[in-house]
Amino acid sequence: MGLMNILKKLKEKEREIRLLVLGLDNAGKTTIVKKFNNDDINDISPTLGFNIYTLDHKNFKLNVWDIGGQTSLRAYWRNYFENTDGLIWVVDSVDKLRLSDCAKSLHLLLQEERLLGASLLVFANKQDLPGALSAQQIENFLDLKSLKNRHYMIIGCSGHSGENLLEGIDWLIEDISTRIFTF
Amino acid sequence: MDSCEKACVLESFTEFEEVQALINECINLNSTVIDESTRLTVESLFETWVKIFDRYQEQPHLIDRHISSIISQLFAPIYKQAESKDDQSPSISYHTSCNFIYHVSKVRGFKNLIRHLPHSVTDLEIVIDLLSKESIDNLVTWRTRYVLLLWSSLLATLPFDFKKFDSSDDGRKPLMVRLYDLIKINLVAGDTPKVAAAVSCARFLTRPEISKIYLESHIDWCLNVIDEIFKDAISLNNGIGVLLSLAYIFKFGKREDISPFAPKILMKIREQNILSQSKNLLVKIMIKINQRAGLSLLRIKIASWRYQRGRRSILDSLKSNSSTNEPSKVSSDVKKSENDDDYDDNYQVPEEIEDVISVLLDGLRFNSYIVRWSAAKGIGRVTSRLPRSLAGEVVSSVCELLSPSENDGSWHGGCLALAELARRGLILPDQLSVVIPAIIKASVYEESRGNFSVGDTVRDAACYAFWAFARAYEADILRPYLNEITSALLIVAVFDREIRCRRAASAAYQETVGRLGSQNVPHGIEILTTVDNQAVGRTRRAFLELSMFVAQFNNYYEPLIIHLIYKKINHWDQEIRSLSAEALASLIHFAPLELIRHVIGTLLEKTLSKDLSTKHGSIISLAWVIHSMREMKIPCQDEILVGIQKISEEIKSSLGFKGIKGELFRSAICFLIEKISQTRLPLDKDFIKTCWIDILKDCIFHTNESIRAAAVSGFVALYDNYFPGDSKLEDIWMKHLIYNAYSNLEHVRCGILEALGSLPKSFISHDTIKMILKTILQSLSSISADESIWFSWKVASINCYTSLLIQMNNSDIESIRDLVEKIIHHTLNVAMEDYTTSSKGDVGEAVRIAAIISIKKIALHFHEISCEILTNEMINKIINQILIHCVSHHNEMRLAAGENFFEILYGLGKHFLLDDLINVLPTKEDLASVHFRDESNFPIWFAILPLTQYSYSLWKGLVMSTGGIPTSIVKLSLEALLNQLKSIKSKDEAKFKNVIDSFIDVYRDNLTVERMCLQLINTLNSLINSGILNDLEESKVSSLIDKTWEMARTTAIPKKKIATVQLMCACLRFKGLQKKCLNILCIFLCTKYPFVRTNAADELYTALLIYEDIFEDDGGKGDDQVDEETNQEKALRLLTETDWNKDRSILIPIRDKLKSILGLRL
Ligand SMILES: Nc1nc2c(ncn2[C@@H]2O[C@H](COP(=O)(O)OP(=O)(O)OP(=O)(O)O)[C@@H](O)[C@H]2O)c(=O)[nH]1
Ligand SMILES: [Mg+2]
Repeated sequence: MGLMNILKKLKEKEREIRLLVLGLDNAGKTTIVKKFNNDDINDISPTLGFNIYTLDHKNFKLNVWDIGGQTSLRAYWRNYFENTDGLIWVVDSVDKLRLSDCAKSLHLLLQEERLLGASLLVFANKQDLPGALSAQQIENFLDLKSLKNRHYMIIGCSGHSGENLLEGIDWLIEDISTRIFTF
Repeated sequence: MDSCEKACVLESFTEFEEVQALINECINLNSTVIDESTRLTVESLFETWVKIFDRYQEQPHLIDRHISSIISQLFAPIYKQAESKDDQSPSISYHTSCNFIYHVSKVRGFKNLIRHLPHSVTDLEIVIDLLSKESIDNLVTWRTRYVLLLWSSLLATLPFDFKKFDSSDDGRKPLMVRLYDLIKINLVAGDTPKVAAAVSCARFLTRPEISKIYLESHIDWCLNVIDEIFKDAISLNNGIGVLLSLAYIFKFGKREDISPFAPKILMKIREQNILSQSKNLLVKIMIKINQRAGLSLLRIKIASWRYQRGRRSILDSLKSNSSTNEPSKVSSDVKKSENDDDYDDNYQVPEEIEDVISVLLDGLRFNSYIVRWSAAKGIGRVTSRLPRSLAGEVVSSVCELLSPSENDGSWHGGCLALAELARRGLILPDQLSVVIPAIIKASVYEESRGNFSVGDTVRDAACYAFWAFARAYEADILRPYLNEITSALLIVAVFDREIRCRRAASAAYQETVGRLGSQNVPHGIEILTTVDNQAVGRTRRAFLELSMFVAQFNNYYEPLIIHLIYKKINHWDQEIRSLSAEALASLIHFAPLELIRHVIGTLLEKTLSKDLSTKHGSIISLAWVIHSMREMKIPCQDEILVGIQKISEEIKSSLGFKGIKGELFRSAICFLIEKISQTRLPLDKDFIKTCWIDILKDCIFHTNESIRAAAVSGFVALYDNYFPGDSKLEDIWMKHLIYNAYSNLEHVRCGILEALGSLPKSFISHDTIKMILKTILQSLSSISADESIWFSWKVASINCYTSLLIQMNNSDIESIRDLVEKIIHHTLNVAMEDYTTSSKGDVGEAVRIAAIISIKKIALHFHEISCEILTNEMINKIINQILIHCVSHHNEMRLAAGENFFEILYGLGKHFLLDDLINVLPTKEDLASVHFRDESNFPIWFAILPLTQYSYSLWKGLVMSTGGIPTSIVKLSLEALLNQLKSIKSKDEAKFKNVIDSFIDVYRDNLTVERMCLQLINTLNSLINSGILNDLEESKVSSLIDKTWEMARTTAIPKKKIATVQLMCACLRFKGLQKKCLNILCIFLCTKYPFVRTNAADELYTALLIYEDIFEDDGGKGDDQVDEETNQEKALRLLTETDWNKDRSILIPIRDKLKSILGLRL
């Protein structure tokens, strides 16, 4: 395999991005992914296993893995860490009670070796509901500023209205695609 | 990309409908029993499926958007099978579906396919049930197992506790036990599904709850299998699945779970000394396991000491955008974390790592490409987790591979590893001063092995390394080396022998300019747009044009020149030496005096080398360079004159050398003489007359044609430039030639003719020319038996008289008109009809081609000087004679004839004789797109068929194609001919008659010509069988039959007899000729040759089946028979019952009986 073959393979590989969508149950992960994919979002039940979506976006092929967030399932999240380019963490901005649980889960996750290179996008979801905390407030709650060696962005959004979903994903893809090293 | 490559590139997946139809058919396959017809259906379905998907091997991503839909449909039969109660005979559509899925995964890659498989919790039990019904001994359904195992690997990631999973209370084993058992069986089965089993195994065993139960024992099993493989206790094939599972476990597993096992695995690897193995696949997997086990012992870190390229700027710009765009917010942290250096200082690298690295380094030197490649990647990955100081040591060790004592494999592995390290930014700036010069050396690495060399993979890998540097490092860091790097890349891009290396260098250069910015690579954009992927594809263009383009920038001429004189003019490939010499001469124009002097000095020194290639290359380079220097008006110092004399004398004294050495010496020195003469370098004239003339005298009679040609050119240049009009030299030369005129060596005679044909005009008088022409003509018209197969000599004769003739003016020609007419006559009637064959085959072809070229040159010359020797009759003859060859069955002949034909046609200006032709043939402009060698061009020529004055010649040529070999020509020419005949017939019946009459004439005139006989019969046979001659007067056909029979009766060649048999059968369609043909066929039934007899019986049998009307006359019944058998049946029975190989005395009565049944007189 010479350089010309390497280049050909690389070109294909660079256009493929693997994203992992995680967060507590009921955060709206499935809703967001479905909305982004233009699917019907009226009839969504809690995810008991996982879903895989293949989306074309801006010349990239996104392989999006949406995993169920219920407590019993979280131990198995790591089955899916392999080769992850980007992590989307979805937060229910109204669920103030479980925010500390949410922060704990996130920080635990970010310590995972195999996710070290992944860019992080946090969706502060359900902004359409009254009483939703702002992205800023959630950033503080989750103590994102303490993250080292991690590119991240937090953005308020709504899986129902679709607001800011595009902006978030665009940032993530931009960040991943300008990366030079793979780990 | 050339047009050809482009044509192969597909735009999208276009066969979706076809695929959908196949899926439907597959799903609807109802039966469970395989009978012959279903088996065939299924096979053909799968074959079609494979054919469609294989088209996408090169661009498999095109099928991506359809995979989901394909897979979900194909899973219907799988689910249906799962519900089915019938365990014994699975449905055909189930297996077919799996076959289909398997092939998609083969084209697209299983990693890609997996995520399209269904994955609901209930699937797990289904897949285990189905899998347990598949026997590993079934050789037909292995694809089904593969697909099921692949599916299980996805299901093995489901987020549920397996232990709580079991739905079955029926006393069966728990699911996880069943799954693991199935996986293990398939791992050691040895066939393809083992790969899927390994993936599934690793997925399953790295689950948090499962790893606690099974992982340890599995790994022990793996270690055991390693031992057994190395002991040859089990075959590699059966063990490799297990090893693969180990490799995958270390890929998927969580570090804390797997690292405890790493030490014992690494110990095993050390114990077994894996690199002593010769099985590449085994070594590759072991290298991988070694690497991954090593990685599991090392902490992942974002190695911030490593040089990181500016990502911050991108983020910063984003940040400033988003600040105005609440509520989104961006933050980043790529600052060096403070405790990084702590990491380096405090981190204790496990001791096993040293072994891991040493295995990888050895892997880089392993004699298999795939192993080196795998090791290089491993080096990259492992090093990325090492502290700074250790990483530096790895880089140094890798650099040591690029040393003269290592072989090409090590150099290659070394370059790959450096590329992988660079790609990850693991080579520190302060190491670049060692690393970059090493890669530059690798970029021109080439080890000659006589008439080939090794090293192209090394050079390619060096380009990869530079490419990686350009991507990973910032211009500031690379700046001190940039000029060297770009020079090195451009040298490879224009001067590498291998196209793939030139392309790789061009790509790496492009990356360098693109990543580091054109401000850092002066003229980068200009160069990269010219020296692009396509341009470097052609060797000559790269060497001569692109090098000149590059040389004008950044003083690149200097590295280019230096590279040529030290690395290329002594290249093992003569073609490369010649190109390099020529390129060198051009590049000299850019160079300052000092460099030129250096070049000359080096070349002079190298001419004395003992190495043949070096000597040859440096002599021709010297010739070229001195030529350039004279053009540039640079004075030549004495050392040059001395050097030239020295090397000339040396070669003169070694003219005794035979073989390749003698040839290289001679061609080099002749070239030197020619080039130097052209510059009129002030050499000592006595030296020239003695040394050079002696050399030329020898070379002019050499057996090798190209050396003779070089000697001729050398002499002409020498005479014209040093001794114009010197009668003494003329005398010496002519005497040398004439003295040898009666040599009985062909090449000597050729040499004389070639020399005479090229003599300078001032050299010979009109009388001498006349004498030469006369002599040639004489010798050609009284050829001895030996001389008749001397085709080179004949060609040389023709070339000689042609070149003498076309030097003459009108009045000179007029004065020897008689002679000229005789020459033309010879060319047209003797040379162009030279069909001499020898042990070398059709040696006359070269003569015919020479004659065609000759007559063209003569005709065009006469036209130009308005010489009127060519009569209309002659012109007509020329056209006709060439036309014969324009439709030849031989590609080279068609090419020569076609091109020259049109040169004459459009070169003679307006001539009433040619108007007819010009009307029906392609115009001058259209000719550009005609390739005369192309076999599909017959229709062009067949347009002439209706022109009466040419149809005879055309037939004469084309029967060789329509009735000969190879079949491809027969098919194309015959098809074109029949089309043309049909079209003529439908338009003009009378014209059609004329055309056929010409064919009949050709047939009659040439049937006795040995080389045409079979072709004529075959062509006639094809014409009759096509039906186009059905209306032909029977009398004409009858005369052709007579003519053929006359020939066939007397010939001893069975092939001709058999062709005649076929022709007679074909002629049975002419009612009035049936008796005649049957009579002849009956004679063949008892001919001397058994082979012909059986053939005649076979052919006649078929004919009697077809032409039932033969039996019409007698009402179908025999007279002396009482049974119900018809005459036809009787005849057929006789033909099949009889063994026609038997003795003729037995056969004659049978034949006579047949005759009476056929109503023939005895
Ligand atoms: N109002 C509002 N409701 C939302 C929004 N996004 C999701 N929901 C609702 O939140 C509930 C949970 O959504 P899911 O998408 O199933 O959540 P999930 O994160 O996939 O949950 P698990 O699969 O159990 O991990 C659903 O009833 C959604 O309709 C949103 O932006 N606004
Ligand atoms: Mg969900």
